[in-house]
Amino acid sequence: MSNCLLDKSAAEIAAAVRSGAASAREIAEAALARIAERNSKLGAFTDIAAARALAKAAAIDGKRARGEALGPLAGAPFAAKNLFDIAGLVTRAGAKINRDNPPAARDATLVARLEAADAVLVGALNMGEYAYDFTGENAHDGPSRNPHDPAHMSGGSSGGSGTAAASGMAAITLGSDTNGSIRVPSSLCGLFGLKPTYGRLSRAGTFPFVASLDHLGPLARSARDLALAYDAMIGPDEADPAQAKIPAEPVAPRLEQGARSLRIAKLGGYFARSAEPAALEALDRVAKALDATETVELPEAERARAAAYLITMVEGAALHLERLRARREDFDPDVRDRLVAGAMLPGAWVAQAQKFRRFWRGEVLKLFDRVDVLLAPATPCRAPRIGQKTFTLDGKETLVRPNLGLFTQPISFIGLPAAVAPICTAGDRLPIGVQIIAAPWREDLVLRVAHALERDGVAAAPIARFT
Amino acid sequence: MTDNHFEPDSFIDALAPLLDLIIDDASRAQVKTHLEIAARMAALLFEHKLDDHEEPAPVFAA
Repeated sequence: MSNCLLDKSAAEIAAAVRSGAASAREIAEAALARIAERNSKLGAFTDIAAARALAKAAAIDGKRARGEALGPLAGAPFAAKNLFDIAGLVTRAGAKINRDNPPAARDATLVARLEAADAVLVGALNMGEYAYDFTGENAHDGPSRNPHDPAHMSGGSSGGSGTAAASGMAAITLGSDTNGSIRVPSSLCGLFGLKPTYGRLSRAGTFPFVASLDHLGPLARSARDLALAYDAMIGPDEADPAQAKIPAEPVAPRLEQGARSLRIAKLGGYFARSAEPAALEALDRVAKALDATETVELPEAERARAAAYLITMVEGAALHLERLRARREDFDPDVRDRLVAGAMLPGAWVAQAQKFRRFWRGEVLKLFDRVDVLLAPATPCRAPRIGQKTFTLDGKETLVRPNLGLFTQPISFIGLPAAVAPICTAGDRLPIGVQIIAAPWREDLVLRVAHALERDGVAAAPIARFT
Repeated sequence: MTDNHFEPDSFIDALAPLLDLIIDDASRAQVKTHLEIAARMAALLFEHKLDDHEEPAPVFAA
């Protein structure tokens, strides 16, 4: 019973716990058993919080026994990328170096807020070192594997977040997204993912990468679960100075408003040029289902991506400069060499990039006067094989690690909210995702569209039946 | 600096000692590759002329 429930959404698990059809303890035990069975094959978790999960589950069951109201995520197992602070665990941020740090004294804000909604934390998740990665590979902990085909990448840097949710080890996972690190694994692992507007959710208690661009958000197997998680995590937090003072309204009650009244267009130009047929076919299926017949361009998207790339190199290098000197041999060489290069870039380059960011934001916002939602591929292709260093894009052989996110990077550059809708094709084992993008602070629109696609059977995130 | 004359070896030779960074032979080729990518990105960025009065995205609030 509880094992079957693990295949359900967080909303369905919570409904079962609230009704008494299942106890939170049964579900937590089943989740821990499933993690014990599957994690060694897939590499999703780096830390398993068994005692904490069972204690939280007991507390939830106690509340129910006393007749107290349960939270909207009651009993739903969740896990967080290991750059989120979890009290009592060392915040690895995917790095060997960080393992020398003391355990976190308290939880990250978003972890605490999901637990306040009665979700049950089951552990911390594998990730690319210091989040500088789109592959899901980790030189120290091994790769987080794609549950749809473990020979393939999960995508990164929130690779374990993709692996855990797609394999049914957790109903909801938390990730970070600086240039695409929620949206890339959502696409490759076939999940719904949400990167909210820059400044929307508190980043307090998480290990940074590029403060100018860092976002946090959830991955899940349904759009409703994204909405429930998002609703549980919104709200001001003085501990994050980058958080905007803009009130956020819950989205879950508005999901059923659907997509019919919205003006939706596909992004062409830069977003079509390097995409493989699988990515364009998925985009066309979504556009057709939404009656989105217009194709528009984001002019200067390639330049925007270049600017994001430079800001990332420079800010990332500044964050790690002392470690690059003192702990050179303890880095993943693929990460270290990018950071070293970033340390050498002229200041004028990043200053210009930040000016271009302001300029381009203004240009793109004009587009939202006549369009509510934009659609674009999330990744240029399905999941590459683990260990694959290069692939061919637009006829040129290019590096996988920095380029899996070439369609996500311009969007997060100006902080637009974006959801990923996963698209499966009969006969193809690996899924691929489509980005749903809206104007700043309109998370409601991207989740409404994602939910409509799921309801109409266009998008789906079935649990992978890996072998 | 952002034109076709970009020479990553010169960057590395000048800046690695200044930054107190060790770049051994094994990683030098990778660092060069990333510098070349960055230089192409910067060249693309600077092709677009921005107004002198354009504000950078992060504006400090006192």
